[in-house]
Amino acid sequence: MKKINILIAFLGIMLSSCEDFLTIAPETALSSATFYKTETDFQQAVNAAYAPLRTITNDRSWLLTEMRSDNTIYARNINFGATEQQEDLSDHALPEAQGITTNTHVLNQYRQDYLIIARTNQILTLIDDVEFNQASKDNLKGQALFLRGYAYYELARYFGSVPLHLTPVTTREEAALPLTPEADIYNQLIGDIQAAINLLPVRSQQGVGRASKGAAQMLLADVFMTQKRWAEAETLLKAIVSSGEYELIANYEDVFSESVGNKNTKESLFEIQYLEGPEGLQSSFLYAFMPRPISLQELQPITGTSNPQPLDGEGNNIPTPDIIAAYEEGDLRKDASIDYVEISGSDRANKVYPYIKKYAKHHDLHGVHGINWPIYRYAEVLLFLAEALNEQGKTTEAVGHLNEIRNRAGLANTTASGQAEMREAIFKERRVELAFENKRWFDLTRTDRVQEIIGAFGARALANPLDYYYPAGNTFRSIAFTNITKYYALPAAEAEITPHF
Amino acid sequence: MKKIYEQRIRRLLGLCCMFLLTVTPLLAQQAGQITGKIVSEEDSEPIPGVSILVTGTNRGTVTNMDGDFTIQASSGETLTISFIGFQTKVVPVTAGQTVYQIPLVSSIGDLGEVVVVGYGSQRRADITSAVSVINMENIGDVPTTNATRLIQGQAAGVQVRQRSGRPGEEMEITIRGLGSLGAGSQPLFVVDGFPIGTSLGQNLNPADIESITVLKDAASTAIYGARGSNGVILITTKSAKEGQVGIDFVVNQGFANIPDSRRTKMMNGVEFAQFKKDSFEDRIRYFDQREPSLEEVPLEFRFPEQTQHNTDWFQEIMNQNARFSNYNATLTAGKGDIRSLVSVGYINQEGAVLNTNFDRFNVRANLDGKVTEWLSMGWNIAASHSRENYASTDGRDALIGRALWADPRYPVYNEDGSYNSYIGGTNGVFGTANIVQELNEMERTLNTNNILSNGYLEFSFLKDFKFRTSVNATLIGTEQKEYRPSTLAGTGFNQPPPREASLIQRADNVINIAADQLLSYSKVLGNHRIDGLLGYSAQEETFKRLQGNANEFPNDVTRYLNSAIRQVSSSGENSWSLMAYFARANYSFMDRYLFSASMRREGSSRFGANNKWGNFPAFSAGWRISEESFMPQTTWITDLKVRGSYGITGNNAIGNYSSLSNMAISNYVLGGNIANGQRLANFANANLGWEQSEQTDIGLDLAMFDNRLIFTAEYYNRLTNNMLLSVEMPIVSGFGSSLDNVGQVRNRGVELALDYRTRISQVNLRSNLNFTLNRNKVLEIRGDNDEIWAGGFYSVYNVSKAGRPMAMLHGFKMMGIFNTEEEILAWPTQDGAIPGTYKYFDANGDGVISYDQQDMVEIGNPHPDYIINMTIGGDYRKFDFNVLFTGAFNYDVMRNIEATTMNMDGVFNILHSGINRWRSAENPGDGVGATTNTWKWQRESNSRYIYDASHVWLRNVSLGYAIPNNPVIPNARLFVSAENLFLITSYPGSNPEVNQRGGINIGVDDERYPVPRTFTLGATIKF
Repeated sequence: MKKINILIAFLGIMLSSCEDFLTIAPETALSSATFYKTETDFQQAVNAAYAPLRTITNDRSWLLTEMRSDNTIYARNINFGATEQQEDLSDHALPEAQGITTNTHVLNQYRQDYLIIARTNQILTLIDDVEFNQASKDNLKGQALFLRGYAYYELARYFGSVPLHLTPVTTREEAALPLTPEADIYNQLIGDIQAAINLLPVRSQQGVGRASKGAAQMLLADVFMTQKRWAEAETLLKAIVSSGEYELIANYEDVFSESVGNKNTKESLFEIQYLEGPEGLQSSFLYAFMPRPISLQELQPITGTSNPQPLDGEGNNIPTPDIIAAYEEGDLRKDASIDYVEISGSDRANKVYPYIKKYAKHHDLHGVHGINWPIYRYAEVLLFLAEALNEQGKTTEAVGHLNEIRNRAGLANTTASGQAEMREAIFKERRVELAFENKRWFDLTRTDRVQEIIGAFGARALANPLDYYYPAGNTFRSIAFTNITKYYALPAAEAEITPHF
Repeated sequence: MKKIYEQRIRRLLGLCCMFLLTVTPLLAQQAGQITGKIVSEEDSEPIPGVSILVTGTNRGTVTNMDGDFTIQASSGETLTISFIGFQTKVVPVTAGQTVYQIPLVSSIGDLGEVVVVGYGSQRRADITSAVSVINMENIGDVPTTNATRLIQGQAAGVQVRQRSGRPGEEMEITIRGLGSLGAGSQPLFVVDGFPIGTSLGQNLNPADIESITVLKDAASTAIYGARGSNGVILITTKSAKEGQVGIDFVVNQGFANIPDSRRTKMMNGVEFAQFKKDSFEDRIRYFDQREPSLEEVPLEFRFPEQTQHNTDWFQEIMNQNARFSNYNATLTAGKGDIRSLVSVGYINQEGAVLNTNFDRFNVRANLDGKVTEWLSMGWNIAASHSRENYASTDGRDALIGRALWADPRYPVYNEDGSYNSYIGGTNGVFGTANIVQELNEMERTLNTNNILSNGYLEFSFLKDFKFRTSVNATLIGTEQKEYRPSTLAGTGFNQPPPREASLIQRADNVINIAADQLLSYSKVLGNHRIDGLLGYSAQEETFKRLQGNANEFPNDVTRYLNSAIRQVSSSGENSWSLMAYFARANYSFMDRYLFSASMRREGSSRFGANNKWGNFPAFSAGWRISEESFMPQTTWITDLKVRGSYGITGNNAIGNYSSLSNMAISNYVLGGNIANGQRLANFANANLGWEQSEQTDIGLDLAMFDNRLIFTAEYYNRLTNNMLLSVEMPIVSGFGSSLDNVGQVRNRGVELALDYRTRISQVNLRSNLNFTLNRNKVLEIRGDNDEIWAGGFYSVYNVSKAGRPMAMLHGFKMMGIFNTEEEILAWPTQDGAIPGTYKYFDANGDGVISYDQQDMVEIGNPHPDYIINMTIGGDYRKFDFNVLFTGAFNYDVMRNIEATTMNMDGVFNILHSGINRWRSAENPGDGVGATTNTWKWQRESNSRYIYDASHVWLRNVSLGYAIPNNPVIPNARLFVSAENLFLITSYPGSNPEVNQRGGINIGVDDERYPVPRTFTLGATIKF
């Protein structure tokens, strides 16, 4: 150590060491300057790129998709109030002006998708400059591309045109880009996912829970279905079928994740991962799906926890009479998907409410479960394949795939014949097979049936508020079902900070 | 690691110095005994406590209550006679004379008086900047735990607000307006030369304070560089005066109450049941257009007059006659080369809310004196231990808010004496835990240990030079515990106990070390007086936290982390450092022309790599016109000075690592296990720098009639540039915002202070009047988007935008109440409005009142137009008195709690005045209360909840009586004091100064801990 000259110290001239004294790095966080240097760093960066998906599926996407559709609805508790944000989504009354909405859920969905994009952009820009094992690098790049493609696909379906960012933002000025047309967003995300397919290993070679080749193929097939590029979709879907990596689970009830076990099964192509326990990585959506106010005695049999607590507020994602009626007689999926609970605190004469049973799996502690959220299941591969074939006129080839799904559900083969009937049969089958898995809304948008189906649904609901869980003497707000649109308006909070929208 | 730490310490200290204090006892020489009496020249009254020292020796004494003294001195020696508030006098001892009558001349406002300024002191006459010296005489016998209270009402331009009555609460101090949107507006506190931060904390014993100086303009604060822009408060603790020996005791006992006038009148049980009954019936009348039958009203409200309980929850949680006690003992030993003052204190303040209290032990030892002819030293060490039982009292859903809205129809206790644990929660009435039970059963403690040490060595050399090296350190350890037992209910519907118990335990440690090296030069050469200062300062602070959270306890007896079923632990640490070089030169010519310049170059760890160092220059000049030969030598102008200053200061209160780009943890789950994830947490901003204030000040000091009247006027203009602001950014950056230097705010104003003292027969009177006028304006925020909205739709928005003062209150403008459907149809569309709801102004004129911010306008100004404070004090024979009024005028407060207590949907108990709500077109009520038929269009942020909060507080009245001399107790004084005695205001809440949310969310009242009235009786005894 340098000896300090006292005289110099007296005068305070210690320029050589000043900068050291004034440089303090945080003790509790890594510095970005030393990160993104090793394989482990990129591994961790990719893990963090998955993380927003946890928020998206636990908190949000069911609000913007399932509750937006005719499958579920917001069940008012008139003793509560001031929770219009969800109500506006459910009854199509989003405040909107000049293509902008103040709804916070729309904002959060938008933000979480861009967080995935920001994180993957960082990875994809830096990873090639760092030397490490090529196979590992390909896998990580593949996952990053998959996630970026997935996030842009969500944005394209929710909003249409959005800003396209492919490199990390390093200055404030770069952070605001103009809207890119929907078609160009699609071109970009298709490129990303195509590249991911080529880089990713198949499911059996991939780490559990990570995106695999099959998941990427299914994602791209989904995109092609939306774009009505049936033949390309068919090719991808057939590749998944012939990969031998996936199969249907015999009993529909056993398909869905438990809180601890039964995750990432043979039927699962991609699902969002949660962990029961105190680590803070749990899911809790089951609680959001409960009709309210629910007492602890009413809740406990559903959750099985040792410490149930009553839930106040208003009910979200409550199955509509329409979805309940959509199940055919004898469909095993009905009881596996929907159950009923009597709510003593309800203001309705009929205090019995349906709730989503698919995810109602027992767990230890109130508010903390580890139930995974399904994104792509093999059943959907088969239904997509049936649809892609039917749309190309290969109706007879399609029938087998549809019946495979129906038979598992305890139903007889379909009676539909001809392309049009078959189309409707597949559309219906998707609704019940994939009920409450956030598929219905996008089925309506990609088939351009939003106005037709939601319009009719709205009219029914407005005419019979009691059936839609209002207590006697109460009904929907006057603005309900006045803003039925295919796309969401862009979020106001983001619009405020960009000159472009 | 250790080596690095050692290196840092060395750099911090600047040199390795050892405090080896040698106390050399000097032998007293033989001399004759002389006696005397010290009196005031003005009125010949004896002055007790005056210090008398035989010059150049360690022989000294202090006058007794009658002004008498006895001392050993021989002819040829001189006596130095000094006392605070009087000019020091030197009297030669002449042979043969053994009895002396010595008159002292008052030095109040005296120009020779020395004022503490940054890194030194200055003759008052030479000061060319805006500095307020708090006259400790004007404060009275204030029963307070916190020293910030002493500043209240004492200085122009300094707003001191008591925002709540929580025991031990530090007051909020703002000097010359809000200067920052993002980095805080609190001044820097400097205790005995040690800059301790923007909060004084709760641990300084007010009884230990000798003087307080407030530095207001840039010329006085620029020497504190990047921490000077919000003003600086210099606190100096007491030290032993030469020759002063004795022991003082102060005992003060009293009690505190919440007077009825500071309570909010809510409905009682019967009234609330009637209200609920009426609202059920009114709904049927309105929606079904028919008369209801009694059976349609829920049974519990059907017969309101049979309601069994009328619980006034606010009354139930009051702790009336809350004890206050304070004991201080000060031992002064001013003889010898090293003088010492040792004080011990204990203060205990019970809260006016049940089961809340604060107590503190203080001990302090201040030593100073000469070690050799050329070396002097000083060492202060203070320690304290405070304990607080606190409660969550602030906000709608905290205890005070709940005490207002809880259902009054429920009793506190069941018939068997146990708590009735769950209040409300049926028939649409919001439920809450029993508030009394919560206060009694919930455990919330906050204990603090504090050690503060200031030490220096000062070398005198080459006649005019001094070198002072000082080391300051403080250690603060805090332990906090909050345990919520399972016996407490939750808030809301359906939340009865037992519920999950929870515990938070936290231990924080702060260590802050600073070292200063000061070289000073002082010389008088004929008409030239020169002072120079060169300094180097370094400071470093580290904060550490260890915290455990636990949930689910098998029982409520063992309330520790390891008893719980689920536990989460966390820890953290952060630090900052700064280093600065500074210089100051003062020059005066013929005592008429005064010049001062200072410069500080400061580096801070908080700022970006490209902007680590900043320069903070300041200049000032003064002209003492009264010293000019052309001024007639009148007796009525004692002193007249005009002065001006300009300087640049900074604000670095932005958090410790804001300029760096760091990674943050963002984990995922893979294969059933935690998958560690890291993401970029923020932008690096290498250019991030301090917020810069440019301030110009013009002042006038006028002293008249032998300093009996002293008048000071100031005009200032402070421009804050490069404000440190978190600016939102599109999310694709990966983070929603980043800190940047943008925007500009201006504060300009006028300060007037008038001191007047007079004597009418045997009554001495003194008064101080100060006036503050500050005008705040945002000049710029950022390029395209010049508005910051802080707050919420159902509370209130504070909006800062260019061209208006900061944080103006925004909401709908309430234009009345809709009386009929026709009125609604004739009005711009308000979706869901029914008769009885509020009518809002269509601000954007689009024909629709949209249910968002579009039609919101400015509805209130939270900045007072002016502030006036007045102190009147005096004495008559053995009696003395002191009275303080504080007042602020023409400003608004959003009484946001009324969005709850006037929320008519029957979820909460409501204000008693809600009886006069709108019932029907025929019975439209008082135009204030809306209908009970809906909740919409009444509880949004709107102008109905805005009130003028102009007020005058009679803050304190103190009366004293000096007990005539007697052999048992030589010097004693009895006093009584009343604090916060009364409040004159039309504001309906309990405290117009509440400023609940602080920062830039000013002027909102969601109910806080009420401010009590405190009466005390005390005695001072001196030996």
